[in-house]
Amino acid sequence: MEADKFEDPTDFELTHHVVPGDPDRDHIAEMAEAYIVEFKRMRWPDEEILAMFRNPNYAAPHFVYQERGEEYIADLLHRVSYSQS
Amino acid sequence: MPKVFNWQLGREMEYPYEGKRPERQFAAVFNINRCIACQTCTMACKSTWTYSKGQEAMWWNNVETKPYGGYPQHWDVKALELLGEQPGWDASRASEQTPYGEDRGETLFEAAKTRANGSGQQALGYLPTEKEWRSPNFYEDTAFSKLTSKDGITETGTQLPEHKAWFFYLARICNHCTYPACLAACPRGAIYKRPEDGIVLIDQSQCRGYRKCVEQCPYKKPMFNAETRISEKCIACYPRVEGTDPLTEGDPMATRCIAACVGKIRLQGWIDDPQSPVYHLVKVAKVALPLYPQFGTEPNVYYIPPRWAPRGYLRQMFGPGVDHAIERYSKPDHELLGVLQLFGSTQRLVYSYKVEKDEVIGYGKKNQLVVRVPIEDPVIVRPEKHLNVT
Repeated sequence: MEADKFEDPTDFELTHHVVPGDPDRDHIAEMAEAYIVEFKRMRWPDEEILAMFRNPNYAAPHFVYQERGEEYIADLLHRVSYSQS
Repeated sequence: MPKVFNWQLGREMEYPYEGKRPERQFAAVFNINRCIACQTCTMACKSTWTYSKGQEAMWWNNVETKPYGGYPQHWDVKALELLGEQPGWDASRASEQTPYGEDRGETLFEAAKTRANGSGQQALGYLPTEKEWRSPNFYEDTAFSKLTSKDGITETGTQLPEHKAWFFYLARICNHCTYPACLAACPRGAIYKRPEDGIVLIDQSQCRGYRKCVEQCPYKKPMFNAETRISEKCIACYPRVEGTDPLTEGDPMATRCIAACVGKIRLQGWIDDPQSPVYHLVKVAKVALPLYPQFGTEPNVYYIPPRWAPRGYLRQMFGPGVDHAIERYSKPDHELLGVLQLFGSTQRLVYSYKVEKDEVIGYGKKNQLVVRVPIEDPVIVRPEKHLNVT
């Protein structure tokens, strides 16, 4: 099949550079914790928050789920609940 | 050029028109810490205003993933590059009226005069290419198409490039700036700022599609409709703000994007009314900050910055108030916690509020009660003799 003359073949390749984070911080863990704090503040039960992390349609929480696993999220939920009580 | 006072810069600046503030200024606060990019706001706007022919590229509301995303692509990187490196704010000049200190740099209006004199530009700007306008969320982590089950959920999740070091979602509408660059740029005088609420509108009957507004708005929120050959932009759902929606019988309502937000990240109010919860967040608690205040347009959509992102990046995006905002937001006092509970609590516009011991009460335009929300739910531990199963 003839290549599409109108589409730049490199369009879908990552051409950007990584913007580094702070070396002494775990930004992804901080993001996960922030989501848990916020959704708890909205009175979401733990099971629903965990379901949000499991759902790939919510890319940011699901990214943490993929990278760190369910046990990590469950533990974080427990720790945030404990620190708020 | 006349001089106007920009409180976000803490100084006077040049603007093509005399400074004249509206009776009330529309404003909103978006809490980035809660946004999961579900795009409900985007679709609420699209299904209300931009659903017909020629509006495929009209994303008056969009949610983009930082740092890679942007609609049009690279809008902020390009505006920052045009402006060049700036010296920033002198924090020692901070006062009640100028909370971030005094800006020592050049705004886009001043840069147009010094660097683009004779070009006809009132604010230094550029026209995005067709390619940059082609799709919101290009290169971002939100879209994937491989279906593995009937509900469309995949095993592997996102497929497009991700910035894995850190990222956050930035929801954007028109900032309804106090000193709009689009208004300054329009050679037809087709753009105006309403004296009653500060909402910035394009008069569709006057617009001839010259795209000067598209070129000179640094936020790239006026959009050229290739079908109608004129430009359009977010209208802040002004019929709802005016209270003409029959649902509330004359009571003003929040915009569709704000009312529809399932993550309750948005709150609408008035920036210049000390009774407004938005005023408290921006001017008293100082947890909500303007987007790229260095551009000089005095934008009126404010953001609570994400706690997890690198501070240098956030300072560039939201100015020098970032550190204070994050510290204060991370340890909210009782009043701030109360105001935060008003987010997404009602479709009606909250004009004033009262924080009590256990709840926050929001009042409407006629000082009537519109919402009552508990601040913190009590923790109740069941006695051990009962089965504790969740």
